Amino acid sequence: MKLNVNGREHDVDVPGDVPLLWVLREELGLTGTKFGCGRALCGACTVHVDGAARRSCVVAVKDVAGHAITTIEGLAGEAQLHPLQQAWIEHSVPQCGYCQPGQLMMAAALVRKVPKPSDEQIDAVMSGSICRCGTYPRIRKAIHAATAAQAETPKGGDGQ
Amino acid sequence: MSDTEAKPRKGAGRRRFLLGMLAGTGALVIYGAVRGAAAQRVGAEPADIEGAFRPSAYLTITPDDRILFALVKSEVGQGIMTGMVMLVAEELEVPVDKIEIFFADGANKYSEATGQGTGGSAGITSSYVPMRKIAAAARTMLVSAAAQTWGVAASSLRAEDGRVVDASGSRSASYGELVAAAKSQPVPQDPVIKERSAFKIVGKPIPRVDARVKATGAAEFGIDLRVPNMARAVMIHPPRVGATVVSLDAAAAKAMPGIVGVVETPRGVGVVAEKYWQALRAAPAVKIEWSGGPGEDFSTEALRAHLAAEKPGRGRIARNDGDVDAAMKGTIVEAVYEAPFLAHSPMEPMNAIAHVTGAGCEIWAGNQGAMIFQDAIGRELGIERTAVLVHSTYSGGSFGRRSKPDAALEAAWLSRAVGRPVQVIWSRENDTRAGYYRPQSYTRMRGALDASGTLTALTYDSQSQSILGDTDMASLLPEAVPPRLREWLMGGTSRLIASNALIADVLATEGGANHAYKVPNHRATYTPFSTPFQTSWWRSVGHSFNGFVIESFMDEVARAAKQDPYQFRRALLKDSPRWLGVLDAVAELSGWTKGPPPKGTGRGIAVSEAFGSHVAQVIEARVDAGQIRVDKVYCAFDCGLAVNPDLVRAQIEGSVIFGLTAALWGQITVAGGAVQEGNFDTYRMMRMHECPSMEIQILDSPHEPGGVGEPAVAPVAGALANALFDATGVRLRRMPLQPAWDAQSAIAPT
Repeated sequence: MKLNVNGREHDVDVPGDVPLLWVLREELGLTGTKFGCGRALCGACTVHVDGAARRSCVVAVKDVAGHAITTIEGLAGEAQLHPLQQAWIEHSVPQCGYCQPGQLMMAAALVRKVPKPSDEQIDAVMSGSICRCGTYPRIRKAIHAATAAQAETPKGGDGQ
Repeated sequence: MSDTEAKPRKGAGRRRFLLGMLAGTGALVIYGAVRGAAAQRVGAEPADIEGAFRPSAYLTITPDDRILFALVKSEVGQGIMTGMVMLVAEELEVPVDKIEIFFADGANKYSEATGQGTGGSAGITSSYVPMRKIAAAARTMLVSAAAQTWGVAASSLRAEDGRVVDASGSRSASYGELVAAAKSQPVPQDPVIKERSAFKIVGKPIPRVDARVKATGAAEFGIDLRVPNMARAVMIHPPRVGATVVSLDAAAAKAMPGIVGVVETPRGVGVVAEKYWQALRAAPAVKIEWSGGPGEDFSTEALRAHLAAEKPGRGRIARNDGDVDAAMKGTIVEAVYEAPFLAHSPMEPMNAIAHVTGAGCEIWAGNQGAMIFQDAIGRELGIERTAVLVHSTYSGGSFGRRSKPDAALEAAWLSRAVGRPVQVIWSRENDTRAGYYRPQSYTRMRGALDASGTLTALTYDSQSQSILGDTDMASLLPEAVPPRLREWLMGGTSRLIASNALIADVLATEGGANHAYKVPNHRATYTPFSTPFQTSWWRSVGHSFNGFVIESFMDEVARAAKQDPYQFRRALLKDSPRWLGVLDAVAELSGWTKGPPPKGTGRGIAVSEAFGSHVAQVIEARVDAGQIRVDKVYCAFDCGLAVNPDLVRAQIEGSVIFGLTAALWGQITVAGGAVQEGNFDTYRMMRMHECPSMEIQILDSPHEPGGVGEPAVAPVAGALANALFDATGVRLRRMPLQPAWDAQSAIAPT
C-alpha cells in the first residue's frame, strides 16, 4: 500500500489494520511520533491527516493510504522551523519532551483553523494531550506567543 | 563531520566492534547525539579522539576545538543537562552552546566526582562544586600550557570565550591549539573556582539546551532506538501480583507472521517478533493459565482496615522531644490521614533493549542509575557487572520509576532466550500495573493546645511500607565484592532496615518527623508493614504523603485554636528563618492578609522543607457541582542559588501539577491481587483545562543550591485540602481528594 508521509511516497507491506503509529515508527523509521497509551487517551501519537489532527495509535493504516500524512518530522518548513516549534524553544516548553511532538501537532492543527486562539479555544483542543511533566502553562504561553508573532511574519512551512 | 571522528584503536574490545556495526546502519546516533547540530559530530567515545586533552573522564577538548562533556546524570525532564553544562561552561570560560554533550555509559570512572545515579533532587547539589572544579582544572591546565609555550607567567594570562589571552591583548590561542601542551601540565588538586559574584552564566535564565531536539522530534528516547538484528517484544505480565505461569499454549501465536518466540520469564511471558506491531497482534493469541500468586487475597481495602486496627504509639521512635505523654492535655486534636499506592506513569512507558552474548550483555535504556542496572542484570545473568554495558538515553519522564531495572531484566531474559537483541516495550497497562509504587500510608496525629491556644504537644504515628526495605542496594558496594556476596550482603541490609525494630526509616518519616514547627513535647513513630507489592521513590518520596499529613494537621490545630492558619504557623516557625521566609513571601504574594477570596472559594496554606530547599504555597480552590476546581496556586521557593531560575520555575510548575494530579485523583487500588487501574481513563492525569494559573516567586537566597525537581510537590496536597476546608467546612483526610469528597457527599445529610 502507498503512504504519503511528509510529502514523500512510501510503499509499505503491512496488514491494513496495523495502527498508523507503528507503521510510522517501525516501517518508516519516523520515531518522532510517540507511543503513550495505545487508546487515543494521551495524544502523544498525534499526526495530521489531510491537515487534521488524528491519533495515529488508533488509525488503521489502510484508512489513510492515499491521504497526506504529516508527522513532527514534517512540521517544519524547508528553511525554518514552524513558528510553534520556535516558540517552544524560546519558552523552554519541553521538560522530558516525550509528549511534545504530539502537543505540537495538536497545536499546529489548532492554529491552522484558529490563527489566534483564545485560552478557551486552546483548552478545548489541547486538553486531549497529556503532559506528565506539567508543561501546560508554557504550552499555553508558547501558543499565544507564536500566534501573536505569526500575525506579523510570513507563515512557516507545515509540510503540506 | 567524519573528519573529526575517531578511528577505532587497535585492541579495542567488543564495544568498538558494536560501534562499527551500528555505523553501518545509520544508528550511530545511539552514542549520544543529543544536540541537533551536533548530531553527526558526536559518535565516538572522546577517549578515542586522537590528540584530545582529557583532564578527567567527564571532559574532553580536541585539537580542532571541540569540547565534549559526559553527562552522568539522567535527563528525565528536570533540565539537568542544561544545569550541568552551565556549571562547566562557567568555569571553563566557554559559551554554553560550544559544549557537545553525550550520555555517559555506565562506568566506575564516573564515580570520582558525583556518581552516576540520578535522584533525590541531588543532580545540581551534588555537582555544583565537583563539576566546576573539573572545568576549572581544565582551564588552569590550558592557561599553564599557554604560559609555558609563551614563556610568561600564568598570572599574566586569562581564559575567555574558549581562548587563552595575554593580558596585554597581544596574543591568544584557542583551547584546541593548546591541548598538546595542556596534556603535560599537572592536574591541579584543588583548582580555584569562582565566587558567586563572578558568575556570568550560572544564575541566568538561559533556554534549555535540549529544547530544539525535543521540539523537532529528533530527540531519541530509549523507545526510539534500534540496534542491528533487533527483535521487539510485548510483555504479558501476570494478572495478579506475583502470579506465575501454570500452563502456556503458544502454538497459535507462534504460527503468526514475524513471531520469533514466545518466552516464559520469571515475570510473565514475552511475545517476541520482528516488529512490535507483529508482537501486538500475536499477544492475544497466547493462552496462559496463571497461578493465584502470593497476593491473591491482598486488597488495598483490607490493608486499610488492618492499618486502622493497629494500636498507635508502638512504632520505632523517629523523634522524641520533651514528655509527650505528660503534656498531652488541654484541648486535644486528633486526626487520621491516609494516602494510597501511586504509579509514576512517565509518558514514555518503561522499555529497554538488551543484547546478551557469550561475553556479556549490552543494555540501552533510559535509566536513573546505569550502575543499578549493571548490578541487577549482572547478578541475574551470573556475570560481573562490568560485563554489562549500559547505554543511557533521554528518558520520557521517570519520577523515580527508571531507578528500577525491571524492563531491562525482561529484555535480558528474552534476548538470552532468542539469541538476538530484544527491545521490550511495555503497554500503558503494563506500566501502571507493574508495581514499584509510592507507598500506601496511614498516619495518626494528635496535638494538645493549652488555654492560650499554643501547641504544646504533638505526636505523629505513621505506618507505611519501607522503600528502603524494598530497595536493592547491591550496586552501592565496591567492585571487589563478588556478585553473590554483594547480593547477600545488600539484600540483607534491606531486610535489616525493614526488620530492625530500632531504626525508623528516614524516607518514610521525612517531612513528618523532622519539620521545623517548634513544639516542646514532640514524638514521631514509624511502623513498617509489607505487602506483595514493591515500593519505590516517587517524586518527593516521603514528603508526598507527609506534607499532606503535617500541613493538614497544622491547619486543623490552628482552626481548633481559633487562629489564622498563616499566623499560627508563623508563631511556631519563628526560629527557622528560611521556613518563615517562604511562608511570609507566599502570604504576601497571595495577599493573604488583605482578606479572604470571594465567597465559595477557599484558600489553604502549606509550607515544607525538602531536599535542601524551602517551599510554601497558597492554593485557592472550590467545589463546583461536585467537582473540585483549583483556581490558583501561589508558590514561594527558596532553593538557595537558582542555577537557572527559568528551569527552576519550570520544575515548580511541573511539581504543582504533579502534586495536584495525585492529590485530586491519584490512586492505585488492588483487589484480589490485581491492580484495578490500567490506562489514563482509570489512572487520571491533570489536563490543560484543569491546570490552575500560578504565581511563582523564587527568593533571592544567599545559600548554596538546594534540590529543585521534587520539593514543590510536598506542600500541594495539604494546601489543597486546607483550601477545600476553607471553602466548604469539610475536612478531607484521605487522598485522593475528589473520591474522598464524593464519598462524604454521598453520606452527608441533605
